[in-house]
Amino acid sequence: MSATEMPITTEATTILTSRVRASSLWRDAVRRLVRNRGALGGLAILAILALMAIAAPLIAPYDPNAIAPVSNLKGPSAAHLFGTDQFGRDILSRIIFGARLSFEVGFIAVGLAMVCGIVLGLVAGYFGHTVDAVITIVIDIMLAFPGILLALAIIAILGPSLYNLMIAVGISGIPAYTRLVRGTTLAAKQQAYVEAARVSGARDAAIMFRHILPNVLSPVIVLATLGIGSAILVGASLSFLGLGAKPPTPEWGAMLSAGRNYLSIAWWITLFPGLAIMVTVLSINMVGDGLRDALDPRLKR
Amino acid sequence: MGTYLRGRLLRAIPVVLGVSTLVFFMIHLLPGDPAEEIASRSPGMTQETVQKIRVQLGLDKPLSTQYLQFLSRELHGNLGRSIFTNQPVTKMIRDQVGSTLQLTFAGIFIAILIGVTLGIVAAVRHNTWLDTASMSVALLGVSMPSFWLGLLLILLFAVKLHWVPVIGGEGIRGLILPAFTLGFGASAIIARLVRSSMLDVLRQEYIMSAKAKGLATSTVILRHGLKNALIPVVTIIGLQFGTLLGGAVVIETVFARQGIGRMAIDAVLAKDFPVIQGTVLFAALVYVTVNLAVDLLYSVLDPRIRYN
Amino acid sequence: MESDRTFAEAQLLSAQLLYGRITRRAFLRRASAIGISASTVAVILDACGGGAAAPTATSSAPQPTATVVPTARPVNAGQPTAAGASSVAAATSPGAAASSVTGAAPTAAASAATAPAAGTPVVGGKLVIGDAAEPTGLDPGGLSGVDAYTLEMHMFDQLLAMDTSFKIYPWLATSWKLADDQKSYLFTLRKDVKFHDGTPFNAAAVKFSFDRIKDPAIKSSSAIAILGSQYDGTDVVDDYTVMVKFKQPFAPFIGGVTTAFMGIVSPTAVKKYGADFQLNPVGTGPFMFKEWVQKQQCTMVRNPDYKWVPEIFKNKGPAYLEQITWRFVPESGPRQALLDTGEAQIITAVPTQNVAKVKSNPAQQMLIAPRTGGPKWIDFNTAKPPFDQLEVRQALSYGFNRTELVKTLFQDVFPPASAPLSPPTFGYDKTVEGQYPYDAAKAAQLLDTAGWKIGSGGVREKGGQQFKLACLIGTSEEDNAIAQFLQAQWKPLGVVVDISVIAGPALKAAELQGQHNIDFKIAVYQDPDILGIYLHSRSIGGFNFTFYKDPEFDSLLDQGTTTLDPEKRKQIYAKAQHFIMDKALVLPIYYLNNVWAASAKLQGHFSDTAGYYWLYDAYLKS
Repeated sequence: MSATEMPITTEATTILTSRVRASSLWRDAVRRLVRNRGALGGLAILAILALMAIAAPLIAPYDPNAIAPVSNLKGPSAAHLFGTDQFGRDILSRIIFGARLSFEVGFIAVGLAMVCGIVLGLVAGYFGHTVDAVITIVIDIMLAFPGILLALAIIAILGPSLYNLMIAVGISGIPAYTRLVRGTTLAAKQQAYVEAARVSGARDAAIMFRHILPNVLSPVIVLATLGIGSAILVGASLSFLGLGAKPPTPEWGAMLSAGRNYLSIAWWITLFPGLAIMVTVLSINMVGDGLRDALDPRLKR
Repeated sequence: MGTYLRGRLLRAIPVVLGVSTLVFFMIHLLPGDPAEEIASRSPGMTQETVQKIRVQLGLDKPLSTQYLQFLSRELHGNLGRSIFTNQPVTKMIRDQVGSTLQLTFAGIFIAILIGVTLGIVAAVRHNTWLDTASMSVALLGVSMPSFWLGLLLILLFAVKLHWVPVIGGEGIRGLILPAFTLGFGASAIIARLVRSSMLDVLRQEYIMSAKAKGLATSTVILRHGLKNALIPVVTIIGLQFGTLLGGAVVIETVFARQGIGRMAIDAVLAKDFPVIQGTVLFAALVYVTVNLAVDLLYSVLDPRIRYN
Repeated sequence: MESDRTFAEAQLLSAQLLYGRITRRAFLRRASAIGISASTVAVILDACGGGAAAPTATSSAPQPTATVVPTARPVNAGQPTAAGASSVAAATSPGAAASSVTGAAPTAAASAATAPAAGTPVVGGKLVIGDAAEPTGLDPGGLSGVDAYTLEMHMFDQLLAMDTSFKIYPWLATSWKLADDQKSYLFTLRKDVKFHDGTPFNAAAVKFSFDRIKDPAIKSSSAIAILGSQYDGTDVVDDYTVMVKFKQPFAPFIGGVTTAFMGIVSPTAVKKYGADFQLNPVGTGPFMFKEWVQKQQCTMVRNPDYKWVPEIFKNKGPAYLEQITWRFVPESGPRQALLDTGEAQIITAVPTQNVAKVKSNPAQQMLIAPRTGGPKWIDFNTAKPPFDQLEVRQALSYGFNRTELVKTLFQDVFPPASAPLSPPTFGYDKTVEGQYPYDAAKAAQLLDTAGWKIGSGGVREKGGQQFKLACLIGTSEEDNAIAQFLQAQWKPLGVVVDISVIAGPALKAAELQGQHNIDFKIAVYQDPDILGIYLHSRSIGGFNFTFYKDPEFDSLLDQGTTTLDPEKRKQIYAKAQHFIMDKALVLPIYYLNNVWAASAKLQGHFSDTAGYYWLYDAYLKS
């Protein structure tokens, strides 16, 4: 297809321009990211954890739910690197399988929050006026619930389970993305390419998703990355409280809850799952910080 | 100032209304008939009981009437009664809230204390090992699950060292571990923020000029830098209050403390909706109030911010 | 016919003989001295030949779950007899005379109860108890269970008292007797008793206390089961005499009336507080209610006027302890810490993994008391698949290794159980044990025969339905552990156990609707009527969570209560126990011990037959 055969519309030009703009931004960002050692370290740890989660059935030394009454409450040893719990279950194996659940919670909750937040934010920022006011009030209402109480209330309605937990954490995350996208959309609305697209008769939805979105995406990515860590923490907290995974699911927060009763007798039941959570969230935060510094050098210290 | 206050209040009212509405609708979001759902939670359910509950909760009236009743009761401080103990929810909250607020404020105090100190140190000793160390600690703080930290602290200080009682303990001794656990995560966030905003401020010219004039560095920091650096921190504290209030829920469980957090969790597991509704509503109202106060403080500190 | 006074003395003598407090020769001497006819004497001697009093079952409430069970004391031992001694001899057959004397006492429980320690009691001191479970209310006749019992037993007194060997003693009632028709009991009351609010204790108060139990408004959970369905009201004969009537003879009553759930409440206070009486209890007990801060603690103080002390106690006046504070700490870790730091001198519900540590600590002592009643058992919901099939229930019974469970989870602190009554309980039949020895292969085979074949994912299927069990539990750590154990144990059989944690009364509500396939129960009661309370079809909607309905089984259980002859009762209940295990209605796990720990300074405490600890005689050594 030659340029002369295909009429180059203004819309195509604007798309091309905005795309080029976006891609060069990305290339610079990646370059900066690679130079950030903390972020690389975090990425490496995450890669290992992800591998662990995927290959869980292959690398876990024991069945995570296999009860072995004979060897219960044994400390770390050669046979059980992280010791066993009150049922004789191998803690290392449970942590390995628990990684799957943590990532699931993180990705699904953030995915839900991100998608809803982007849509709401774009709509609010783009259309303004009443629509914006309504969405803003709704977001303010959601933000009026302190901490995990919104997630708590949602679980109260839906009932405790791991999937309901993901939904609850996801819904609680929507306001952050909405506000972010709304703010950047408001700014982007003033840009020339948006004006040009509108003039050329492009549909609202097209403008929002094809023009504006790519440009607001970078802070969203940062938020999402950090959000996965936050979702894992909140999810673990809710499971710890007994509002998430049901036994015998080897969810890290739930494991800590059980360890509470054996604190003075078997400290390893408490130490290792918590360590797993911390290492996971830490590496996510390092990558997220790195991404933020890479994508917006103005913010860098 | 008056306009600003009025503006913020005006904005807060629909939020409060919205929160009440959302909370009201909670029981109507349950699958199935709400009266049956709730009645099924109490022993000895018969058709009579279902009907009684329906009348008691006003579920036999049209939705709009129910809603108005709910709102008017709320204004009078009546949040209903627990389905099981039949105690008024307001009384239950009143009995438990003191402990929660005590914990939350102690947590904020510690968060500010540690966070601001760490942040200032890191900013002033920018790019030294102190900076890296402080920021690493902060990074750990936001990555660590609070309940894990709490358990480890119990293990170390109460079980092994016997420095503090595990639960109970009057005043400071009983409060210090839970407050520290609660505040640590927030202190990390505050530290990072203080550091970055101080660095911003320190770079600004007027500081440089004050330094050039020969004022001691510490005076420079304290008088000029800190005040401006703390402005965004004030907002963060307001937001962190919410996180801490929510975090208190978890910490109360870890340290077996009384409070509305524990009450709420028990209510969720027991599906005692009036208690859940009442607690959530109350917490939200407190949070909105605190944020209003914070906004007010913010506007006092930074004359540039005014609602137009 | 001999006079009433002679009659009363004859009763007393019979009792003394029955409990071995006097020799037969002494009995003969005194009996003839009072003028009891020889034939009467002969009959009595005959009846008393067997020995001690019958143990009565105490109903137990399931622990952390809200289901309450009545706690009964041992059935009367020989106290009430038919009016008129001669008619005792003539009209009453050995069976009837024996009705006043109930069977052999299990001595196991007696020896298990720790005797009060020697030493001079220290007067004074404030006792703090770290209590695992806060009661919902403190109205003994109302919504009360195991959680409330330990508090109520110190604030309320009963008409009769029972000691650790199931002997009955007067308490608020000085004497009692069974009416001619065998269906009513006449009690003579003490005249010098006052309630904590100053009002006098009298017949009207007894009538009020018993009659209100049947009132649906007070939602009685345990007392109503103790009174049973045949209770026909209490009559005030005069200011200090009452007649408690039943429509049928009711053997468990005299033992039942010694439980704290049959405590006498102050009518004035009930009228004053109404529905809030359960938050402001007023009785006649050695301790008076002071305050209750919900979810935190409940405090009771010594009753300075207390002097109506039954013989089971050494102390004869006001309690030694100045006050008892119950601090509610549901988590075991912090509760143990309370004891370790000395903030509490007693803690309840000690997890078995901490027992060794307490035992090795010279500053602490373990308080372990066996409980009469049922074992901790698993209900099979027979109303819906898969447990509507006998083979399936039997299969899972074979597939359950209780010895391993008790060893792994509870360090053998509880003995494994395979019978529906615990050994100290009256009527316990040893031959019932061991009916389903652990045999995983047999379990699998039975399931196959029942039509449940292994399907996709290793889960058994039948007619398109998967073998998935809804297991409903409360927030108790023990139940959680047992449930997970079952999950793992039955998984290789192709059975999936889905655990749902429901807190508080919502659990009972869900169970009442039959939402569960399995759930857990405990039952503390001295009388084998506990089997009727839990498994009679009329208890569906009450305590029966197996939903089993069988008119023949029902009538067997009914016979158990209407038969006053202890030997006959034993036979009836032996049959009942075999039936229950043949039909695998429940799956017993372990026999209950009440596991408390205390500071070594605690002295004078001892447990009753239900494993509850009396603190009236207790004091703190300095």
